[in-house]
Amino acid sequence: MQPRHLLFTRNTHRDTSAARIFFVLALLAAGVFALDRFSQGSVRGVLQDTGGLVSAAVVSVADALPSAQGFAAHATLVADIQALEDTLARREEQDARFAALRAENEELRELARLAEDESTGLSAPVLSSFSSSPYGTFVIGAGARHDVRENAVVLTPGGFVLGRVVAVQDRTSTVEALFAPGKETEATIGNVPFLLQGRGGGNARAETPRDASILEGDVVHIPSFGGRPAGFVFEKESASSSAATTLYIRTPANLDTLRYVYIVQ
Amino acid sequence: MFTSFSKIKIRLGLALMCAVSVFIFPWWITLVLAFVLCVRYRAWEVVPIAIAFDLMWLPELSFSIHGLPLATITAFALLIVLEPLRRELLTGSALP
Repeated sequence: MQPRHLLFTRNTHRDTSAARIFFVLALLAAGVFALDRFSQGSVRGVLQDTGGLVSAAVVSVADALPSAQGFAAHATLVADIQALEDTLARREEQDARFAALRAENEELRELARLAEDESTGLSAPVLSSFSSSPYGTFVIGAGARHDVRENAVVLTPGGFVLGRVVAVQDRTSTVEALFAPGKETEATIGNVPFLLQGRGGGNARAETPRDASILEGDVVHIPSFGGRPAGFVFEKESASSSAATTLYIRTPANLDTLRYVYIVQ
Repeated sequence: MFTSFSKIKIRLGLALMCAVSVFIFPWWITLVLAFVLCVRYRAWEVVPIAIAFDLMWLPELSFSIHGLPLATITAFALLIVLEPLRRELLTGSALP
């Protein structure tokens, strides 16, 4: 047992050095963020390119590993389940797409223009999991060398808006999901405009006037993305005492199994 | 000597897993690993890992609520908040 004054000296010394390290780390954090900002995202670019490659490598190793270790049956089952989930999601997406087209067949000319625009895009693999980021961002495998530009619209294979490109690196780009947590976007269903609030994981929430004629399954369009569809209403909630109806909206694509996206330049 | 070497290996392993999880695992796994590191060690390495996390995933740094580097702020908070718990209950005051 050490004398009390020695313990006090040692702890005080440790606290001082801890405070010093803390201060240095806070300076380091501020310095790195400032450097990234003033170099127009070069620090972030290197990190995201590396992260994209690491992620792609891990995914390919994980895909190859089960069969190499003799778990072929398990791998087949997992692949089957994934394929079924994929098919189901695609069917849902097609249904929603069909509903959108049927409800708005008077806007065929506009849709034709959109389809023409979309032919100028390119498809890119999704390199990161949608659950990796709490900010609602993900990395795709196309970048500046593929002529991807900031603010390009990213679509699901079925043509629903997933988000927009927020940062472009050499071989990868970062996409911010339209339904990122807390992100607000103006949207419409028919003639009813409202504000969508993203909740992450391809889900969003909105409030509309109680008397607005909105049904479950109605497709949500985003005017700022050229009126493209972004999701559909899967649940409607309305308390008798409230003047508003709460809509729960989600992307029809299954984000867990989504391997490719389409970028409209 | 051996104990100390094992301890370093465990800490290094946890820190490496935490760093790799930034790129490939769901965000909460990174958070759990950072929590474990901060509970057991005075783990300053979680701060650079958190900076990397924010640079990797944060769409745009700003002073609005959606532009704050939450991972970096959380890393500093974990270091400060868990320090007394770590020192008094889990590792004893004599350990670093």
